[in-house]
Amino acid sequence: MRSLFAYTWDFEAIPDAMPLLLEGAWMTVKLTVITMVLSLVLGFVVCVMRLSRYRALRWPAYAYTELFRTTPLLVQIIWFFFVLPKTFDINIDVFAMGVLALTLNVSAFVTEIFRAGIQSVDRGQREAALSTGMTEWVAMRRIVIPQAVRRVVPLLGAVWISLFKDTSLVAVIGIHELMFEGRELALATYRPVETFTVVSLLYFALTYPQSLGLNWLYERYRVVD
Amino acid sequence: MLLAQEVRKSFGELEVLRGIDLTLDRGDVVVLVGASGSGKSTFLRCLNRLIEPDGGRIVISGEEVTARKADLPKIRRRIGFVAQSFNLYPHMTAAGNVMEGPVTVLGEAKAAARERALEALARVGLAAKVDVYPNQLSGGQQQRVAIARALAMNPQLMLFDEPTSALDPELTGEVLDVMKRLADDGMTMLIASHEMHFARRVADRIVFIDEGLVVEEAPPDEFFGSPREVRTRRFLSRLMSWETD
Amino acid sequence: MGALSFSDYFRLLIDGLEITIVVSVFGLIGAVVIGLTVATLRMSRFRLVRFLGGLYIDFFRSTPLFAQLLWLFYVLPILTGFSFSAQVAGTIGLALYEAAFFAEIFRAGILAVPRGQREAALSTGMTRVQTSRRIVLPQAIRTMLPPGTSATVTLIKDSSLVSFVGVTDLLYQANSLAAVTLDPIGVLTVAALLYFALCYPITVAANWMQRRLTLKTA
Repeated sequence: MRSLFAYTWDFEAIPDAMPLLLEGAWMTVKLTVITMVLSLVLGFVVCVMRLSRYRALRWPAYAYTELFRTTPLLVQIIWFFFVLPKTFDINIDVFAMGVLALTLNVSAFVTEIFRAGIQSVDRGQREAALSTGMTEWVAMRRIVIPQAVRRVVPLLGAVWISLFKDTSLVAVIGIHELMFEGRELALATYRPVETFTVVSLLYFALTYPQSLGLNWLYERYRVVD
Repeated sequence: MLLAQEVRKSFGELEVLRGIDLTLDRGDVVVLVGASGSGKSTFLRCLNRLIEPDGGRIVISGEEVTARKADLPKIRRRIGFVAQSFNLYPHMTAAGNVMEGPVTVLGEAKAAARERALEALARVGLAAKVDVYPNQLSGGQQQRVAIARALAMNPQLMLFDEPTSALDPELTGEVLDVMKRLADDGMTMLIASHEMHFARRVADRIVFIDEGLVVEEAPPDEFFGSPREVRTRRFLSRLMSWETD
Repeated sequence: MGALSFSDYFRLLIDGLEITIVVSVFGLIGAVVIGLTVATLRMSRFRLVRFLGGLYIDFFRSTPLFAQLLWLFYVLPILTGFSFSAQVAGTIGLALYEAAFFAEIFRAGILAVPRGQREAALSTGMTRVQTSRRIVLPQAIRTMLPPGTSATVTLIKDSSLVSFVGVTDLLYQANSLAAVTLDPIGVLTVAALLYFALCYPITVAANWMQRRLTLKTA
């Protein structure tokens, strides 16, 4: 332990680099927001497919969710990095690639959350609604989905926070978010210890308040079974 | 046998027990009655210090239960406790549940403990369900296993907290039968219950608790026939209003 | 590098897979041990101890694993004066991070055991230790198994990050090969499928356990 304090900490280069780091943080936020919005949409669509009566829709949805949840995000990101330009001859910028990879990954989890949320609503609720003469769709809309939302919201909050941290992975394909800026800075200043300490503290400062917000969400939407 | 003096307990602002006094002699069967929230459950749990009383003195078989240095596991072995929600260990069979105390706490050999467990289960009428798991038993059967489990420790005193309140009406009879036989065999019992017919037939005394205090204590005939306190009378009339006697 | 045949690069990937498995296993052991400790702290009678436990969890869950690994990689030698191999540093980092998640799972499992069970055990005269060992833990473990298995899968996936501190795991090998072969997609796809083959059976087991658990308590 003595060696930690024997090390000469030198934060000199940091204050000048702060603007760059903060820009990286802003990019992190942008990535998170855009990905989340897209994932909610895609997740909903795939969920509908997953719960559909038609095998032709169910099966691809199932394969997609299983594949993207059981392989590492980092592998997925790198895979897209190589595949898109080569195979599909799509030359999009890294930012779009990053968002694509992140969205496909997060949507798979969102699909499962929606699915579990809908299926967790007591079957009796749907029965009760239908027996008053509502159609399937109206019963969904007025009775099942509102109850499913209560269960789903806290879980989506957790996905959000995970996503916020996972954006650090797109640094490897060159997107200038916080982690990328951190690595660049560490290389430039030869001070990896100080740099990554500051980067970690920045992440903490951004994430911890969100966690507290998530806890509040949990309390508010707590389902008493 | 049992002496409780000025037992008090508060949960935050709420004073649940305001000084309960109760005495039991060996062989007594006492039924505690009172509205929900009057403190019956809390009081019973103070007797074996599952809940820590805030004040008062409890002596059981000469042992100071409320003493600071009281050997609680040792004291609790002498007290059998049957709760409203049975609380059978789901990962053990009926026999396993009954054997658990003797084997783990008393250090008995498994074979001997199993024999005694079979006897205890036969006594409560469940010889056929010895190797069955709790989730395959009805509520009444589970409660009877719970009673056998408590009896397996050879307690000197049995506490019952609303033993039949969680049961369907047609299942209460089998549990009450077991309890009556226990009483006839001379067990010292303190029972919190709503079952008035049972109380009238089996109890030596009825104790009415209201708002954390003992309001009235009397033998069944006197209690039901000519209650002294106004509150007792009000309680009884509310209780009996649904009964067609 | 000369031309690599399929069997060559497959063998390299398998080498990487071995490292991934080693890192995951030791990471898991570390995460479980640390997680249990932290969970115990969180359930202590003393407020300060509980707070410290909570601090650990909040701290390790509020920064990306990527940042933690890089930080640890540079700081560990300074902190302890020893030089660590990338694999050891990576495994430690992985364990510390995942422990925060396991701790919550353990705590939830223990709290899920109904209070009546403890009451019943204590009223037969069992000591606290006996109650924990014979009654609470067996039931808690049942509750912990499904989320614990999911957390294990997450751990295996997260282990892929150690490739970026120089550990020659599956992703590292795949990356290196992808840079030099004419078929990076093939290499990466095989790598992805290998991860899938590792994780999918565990996921299936977790789902099966989840279903069996909910049926039994009905």
